[in-house]
Amino acid sequence: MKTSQLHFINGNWKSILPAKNETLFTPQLVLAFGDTGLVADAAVFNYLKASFPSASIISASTSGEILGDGLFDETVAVTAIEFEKTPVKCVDTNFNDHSNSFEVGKYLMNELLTDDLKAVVIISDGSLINGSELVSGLNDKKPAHISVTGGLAGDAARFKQTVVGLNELAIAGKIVAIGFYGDKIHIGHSSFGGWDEFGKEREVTKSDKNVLYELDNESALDLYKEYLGPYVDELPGSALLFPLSIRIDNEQTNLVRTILSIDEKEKSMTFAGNLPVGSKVRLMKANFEKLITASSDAAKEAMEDLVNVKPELALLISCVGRKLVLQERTSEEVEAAKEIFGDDTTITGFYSYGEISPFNPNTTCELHNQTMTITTFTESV
Amino acid sequence: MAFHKIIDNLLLKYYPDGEYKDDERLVKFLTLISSHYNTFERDKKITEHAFTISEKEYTNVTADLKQQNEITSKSIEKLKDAIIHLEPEKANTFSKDDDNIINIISFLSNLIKKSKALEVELITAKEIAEKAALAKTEFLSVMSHEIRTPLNAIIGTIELFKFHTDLDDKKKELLRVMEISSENLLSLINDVLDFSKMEEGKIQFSERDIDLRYFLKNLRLANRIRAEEKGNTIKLMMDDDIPNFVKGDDLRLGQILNNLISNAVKFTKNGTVIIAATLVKRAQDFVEINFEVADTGIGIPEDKQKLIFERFTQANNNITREYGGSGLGLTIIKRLLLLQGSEIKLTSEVGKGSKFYFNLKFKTSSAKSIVEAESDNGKTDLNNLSILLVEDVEFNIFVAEMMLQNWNAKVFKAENGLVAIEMVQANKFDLILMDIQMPVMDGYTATMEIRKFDSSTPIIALTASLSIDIQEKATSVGMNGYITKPFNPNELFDIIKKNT
Repeated sequence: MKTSQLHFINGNWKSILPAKNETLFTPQLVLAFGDTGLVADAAVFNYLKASFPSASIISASTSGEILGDGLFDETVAVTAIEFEKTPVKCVDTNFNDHSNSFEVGKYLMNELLTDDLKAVVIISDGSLINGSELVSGLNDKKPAHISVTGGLAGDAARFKQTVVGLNELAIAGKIVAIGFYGDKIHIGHSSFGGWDEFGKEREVTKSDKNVLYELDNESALDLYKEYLGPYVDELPGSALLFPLSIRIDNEQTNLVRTILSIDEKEKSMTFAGNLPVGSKVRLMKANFEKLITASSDAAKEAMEDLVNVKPELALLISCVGRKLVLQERTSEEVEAAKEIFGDDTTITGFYSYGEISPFNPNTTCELHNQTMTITTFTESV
Repeated sequence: MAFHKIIDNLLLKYYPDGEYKDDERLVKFLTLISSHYNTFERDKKITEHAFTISEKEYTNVTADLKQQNEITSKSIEKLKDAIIHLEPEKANTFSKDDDNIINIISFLSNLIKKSKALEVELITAKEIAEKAALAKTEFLSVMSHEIRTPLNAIIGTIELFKFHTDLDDKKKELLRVMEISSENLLSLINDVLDFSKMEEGKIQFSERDIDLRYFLKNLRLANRIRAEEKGNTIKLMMDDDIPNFVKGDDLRLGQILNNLISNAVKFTKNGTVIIAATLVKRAQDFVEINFEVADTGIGIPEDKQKLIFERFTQANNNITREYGGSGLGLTIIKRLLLLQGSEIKLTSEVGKGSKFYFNLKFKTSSAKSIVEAESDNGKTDLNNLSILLVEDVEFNIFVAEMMLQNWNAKVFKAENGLVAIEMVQANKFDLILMDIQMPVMDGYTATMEIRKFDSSTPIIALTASLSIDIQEKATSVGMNGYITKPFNPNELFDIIKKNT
């Protein structure tokens, strides 16, 4: 595997990590994570197209870009990858071409699925799609050994419009799936949150998919307002300080759900994942040190299977909620991961509106919130 | 530029002249530190607020739990108190002071098991009792029935003897004793049958036009002879306002009054028995009449006045020996009146007499007169009528044939329904007397067959049963009337007269 990285910052292109033998560098895949306006900018796209004429260019808007050990806003972080032994296939689809998000997931998996499909990375629209249903659709026909990871595009802390593109300008409602084939590619993945649950357990008593109305028969929005106290004016952003830990159908593992928007008139809150009636939830609260430790734990676990080698590429997808909590300390979680991987691993990624990763290897993937989700790629094993 | 307050204070202490401002790197460093401080502070504020709210919630939850616990404790205490109150000996199976309800639960579940078992036992006992009651009723019914058949022969024989005019007084007296005894026996059997019918709830009341004056006069006449034998006079007093005709069950009214009158006669010597009827109320569609039977006899002690209406009870056991009777009569009267919405009442004084009285409602009748068959004594002539007697029991044939021949009727005999049909096809009869239960072909079937070719010849059923069903069934197959065995010669004569 060969990689190179570019950075579009303050209106200029900068080469961060040049490929080792540039003239022979023919990447099949280019990942461009950036500001919503910039990834939808024709000039930026045309530059990438000209630079990597034979590559599939995947672009997505973010709530912050990760490049090396740096964390940026309002830039475009570009990573070009040449797989030497691994066939790669990219497909895309529009949310509007399907009856629902579940069908989108089913369609993408069907397009990529062959006997030697090893792993799938999803880069999806983050505002129109229902992440939980997309993940269910992806899992529907998926053989257990295929790992699915990825994330939903972000839009800074604006929660307005996310855009995604494949070989064209990024637009809203686009979902891209990348398939990795054959035995030569080694994929590692992990997902850690580091949040503390607190307060009493409550039951979801009224909800519609990812829209929550009532907990224990009382308005969920009013509950949040009470908890936010002096920060109630900063809704919905301040609600990210208190994600929900949710246990569906008495399953053993809890998922984390974060707030995307609120509706004062309907007294409702829209979350980045479904909250079925009857689920048990508890409020969660950040602890800075634990958040940052979770990032290095995720990095460790994502390379657990590798012996005597470091991953060649690490894709870090973290949640916008973590960034809003960690503020200027956000870069510490990127640095913590970088410290585990060392200098031999090319690192990129973005702050998202939802992370996709299985809890354990060989299981169905899940939609997460408020986690650091890391996928590692290694061909040299 | 202002840093976080802590940093500002420190700067003031260590750089009183503000010379740190010249060091760009220091300022940048301090800015970052200050920002961290602010973030920490913001997080601390949020955390503290959230934990305060959470604490409040937990306090509420704890208070709720405490309250629930108290309610539970109180409930358990009350439960225990209730159990101890109900079964004090169980008090030591559980401690009264703790909230442990496991012992109580096992105690209660034992209790439930016990009451379930008891319930099953009770149901079984009830079923056995019901079966026993049914068996008793059936036994009474069958026995009475069986007794009636030979009794029929006895009464018939007595009747036949009465036609002999050459009997001396001694023989006539013996015959009289026999007649009274057999009639008593018949009425006793009828009482028993009535009683078992009432037990089964099978009593029905018919509605016929009754000429009350004629009816009461006959009642008095029928009891006069026996009354005179004991030196009693029977008086009938009847209110002029009572309408001539009413609608009701004359047989049952007769049964009630006859019973009361014969009791009055039985318990009175050289005295008076008064039968009285007075109008209580006359409305558009009913009249209410008060009937009274009073005597100047031995009377009934006050403490026995209620008891005599209980079955098989008389005022005292000596009475049974001295006056006879089953003790069923008054019970039957009481029930017959109850079934018609009335009540028998009694006033009595020992040594002075008794008075039984009751009110009964009748529907108003539009009848102007009732044609009664002539039953005057002496005019017992059937004028050579040809009568077919269908009967299988030889003795019954003998009795009926003798009676009919005494009344100058021509008697033809058939031993079952099939023979009867053939005879009716071949000959014309003025009347057919048809037994119900016969071998080869029963009376109902025979009647239905006869009615297929002969709709005019009157057919009278002869039955040993008093059942209402017989009456209905007889009518439905095309019979013109029925008479119960053993039959009173007068009744037989009347029904033949009425139908020819």
